[in-house]
Amino acid sequence: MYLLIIAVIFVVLAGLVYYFATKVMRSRQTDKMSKNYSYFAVYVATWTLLPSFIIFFIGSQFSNNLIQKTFLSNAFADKSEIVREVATREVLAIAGSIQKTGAATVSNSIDGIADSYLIGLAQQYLHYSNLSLLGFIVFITLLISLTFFIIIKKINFNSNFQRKIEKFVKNILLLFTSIAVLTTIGIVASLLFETLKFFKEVSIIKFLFGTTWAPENADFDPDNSFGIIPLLSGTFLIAFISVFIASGFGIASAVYMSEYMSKRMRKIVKPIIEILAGIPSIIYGFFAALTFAPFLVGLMSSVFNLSISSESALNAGIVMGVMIIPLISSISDDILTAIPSSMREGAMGMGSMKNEMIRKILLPAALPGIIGSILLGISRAVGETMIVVMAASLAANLTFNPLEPVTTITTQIVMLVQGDQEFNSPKTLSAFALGFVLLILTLLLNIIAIQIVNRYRRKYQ
Amino acid sequence: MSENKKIIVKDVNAFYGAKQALFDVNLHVLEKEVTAFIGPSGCGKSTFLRCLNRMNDLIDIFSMNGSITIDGVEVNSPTLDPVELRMKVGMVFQKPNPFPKSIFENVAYGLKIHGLTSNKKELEEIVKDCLERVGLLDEIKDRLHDSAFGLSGGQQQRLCIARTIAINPEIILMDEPCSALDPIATAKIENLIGELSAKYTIIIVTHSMQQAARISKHTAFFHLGKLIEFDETTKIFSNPKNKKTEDYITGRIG
Repeated sequence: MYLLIIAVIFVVLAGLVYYFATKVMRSRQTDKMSKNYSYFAVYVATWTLLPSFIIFFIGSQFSNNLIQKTFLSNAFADKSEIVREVATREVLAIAGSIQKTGAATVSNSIDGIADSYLIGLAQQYLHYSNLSLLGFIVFITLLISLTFFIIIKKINFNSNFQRKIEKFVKNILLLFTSIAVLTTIGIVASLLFETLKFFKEVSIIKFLFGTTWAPENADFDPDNSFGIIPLLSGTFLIAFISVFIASGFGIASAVYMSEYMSKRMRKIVKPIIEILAGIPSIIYGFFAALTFAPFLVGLMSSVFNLSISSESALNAGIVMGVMIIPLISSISDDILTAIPSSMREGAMGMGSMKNEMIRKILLPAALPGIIGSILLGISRAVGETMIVVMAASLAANLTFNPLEPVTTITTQIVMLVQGDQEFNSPKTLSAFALGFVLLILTLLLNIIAIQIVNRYRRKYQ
Repeated sequence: MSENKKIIVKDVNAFYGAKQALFDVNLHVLEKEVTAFIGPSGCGKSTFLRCLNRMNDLIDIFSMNGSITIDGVEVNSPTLDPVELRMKVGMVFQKPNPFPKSIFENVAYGLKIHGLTSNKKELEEIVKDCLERVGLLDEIKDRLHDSAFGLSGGQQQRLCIARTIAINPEIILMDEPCSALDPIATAKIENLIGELSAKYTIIIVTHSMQQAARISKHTAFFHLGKLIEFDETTKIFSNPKNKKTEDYITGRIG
């Protein structure tokens, strides 16, 4: 309601400013057909409304804050700080309920303060804030009229307003772009700060080189409970199993698609393989945990007479490999197809068999790109969460035996931030440190992979 | 000079899908001689050249009928292995297409896949000999194991010729081998073709009539998929029998 009123007021004011600006321009310009009109009006409206809008936006925040700080703090002046905070929050909640439903509802009574007193305060608070809003509206209307007259007085009517608007739009687009970039930087920065907080409590050396991961012991021995090595070994064990599987199947299917399949078939089959990449990883997750794990346990014990954990690295790795096949197959196929046909003709003209051409000319030529796609696959596997949460273990075993259960960085992050957690305990903070390590790992792998793939693509262009 | 007919072509029609690209081509190519195919773009001369070593097999929609024999053996016979055919009939392409390997490996490739030598020393000798024969050895002596992509266009094309003669073919097909090269590189290749013709039967497709006149003994003129005229080069250029040939070499069509 509140927001709607403000929006309507601004739209009406904008319309008025636009209307008057057009009038002014008509009275000034003889060339009635000029396109410059509407651009002039938009230009004037923008510069008239923008400063007021910013002032209003900042001012209303500030005034609400001011009312809260002075008026509500005074009301609870005799109470302790913690009570004051809780009571203030409650008054604001009551005010909110009055605004929304019209009825004042007290959801949490506070010891030593009567509900009726809180409701009274809430009503008073609403009264003040409505008053300040009204004041603002009057002030803003005056401000807009004032800026409008100043702009009309000072403006050079002969400028090219179309160009000015264009510049303005360009800057708006720049602003949006930078918001997207800044958000990313902000996320990384917050991750970094929390990580630093963690390293104040736990030594970074012990974190990076410790071989025991036992966050449940954090309360009595924080320094020796957060060793990342078992998580790294588990993560990379699963990642390597999956990439081993995915590159085998992926490269084979890429070779078949680019070299043997007819163009028509390829147009059908390639999208189908790429659809595999769009299957949500949670589906692979329960496939791994509920279907594939029992099958693998049975297979291993009956055929190879091996006992294998149902949460083994092999299980998660194989299913994750199936998930990564489309990634590797699709990129490798692009890279093989990008090799100019003159290379194929050259090889065939020399009397090569097709398999000789593929093995001796095409695959070596495509090798850097294929390695790039494999690195991208590793990076994907390292960051993958759902499959390992469902199919990998929680036990942080330091082992390279794929038949044993291992855990991964992502699984542990999920475990650490699940449920009610204190924000500042080393246990919660360690999730940020793990996240940071994960970010750096995948970032490095991606940078290297993209470099390799791009360098390769450029070679033939 | 022998008058031995190396390649005999009878009533060849070629099609891309439903579109006919060659109409009743009859022709013969003499052994150890340079024969040039000239004609405007899209006249079917490259298509015809590719029929001779069955490179058109690689195109799904291609089909042909008629007879092409090399040394009396039918090229399109189902019992003939195209791999063997292409060993005998080497090909050099319009754009230099060295393999993404070292200069040495480029020339050694054919020798290796066909198992022509198992001896490392012999391999090296043949590779050097081939590079020598295309006049490349002196220029790149110290760079033998560098990437072939580092060579200039003209050098790359001569490398492709060296790669082709390494497997010791009897016939070399050249599809506009100089069209991507500058005049100096072109002159070098033309000289090389002259030298190679002592040992190989060479068929060259070219856009440049001067080039055909300079290097070939016989010339075939193609127009819209038909072989218009086939005769000794000197006769084609000085005294063409067909009006279309005359129009083309005097620059009126093309």
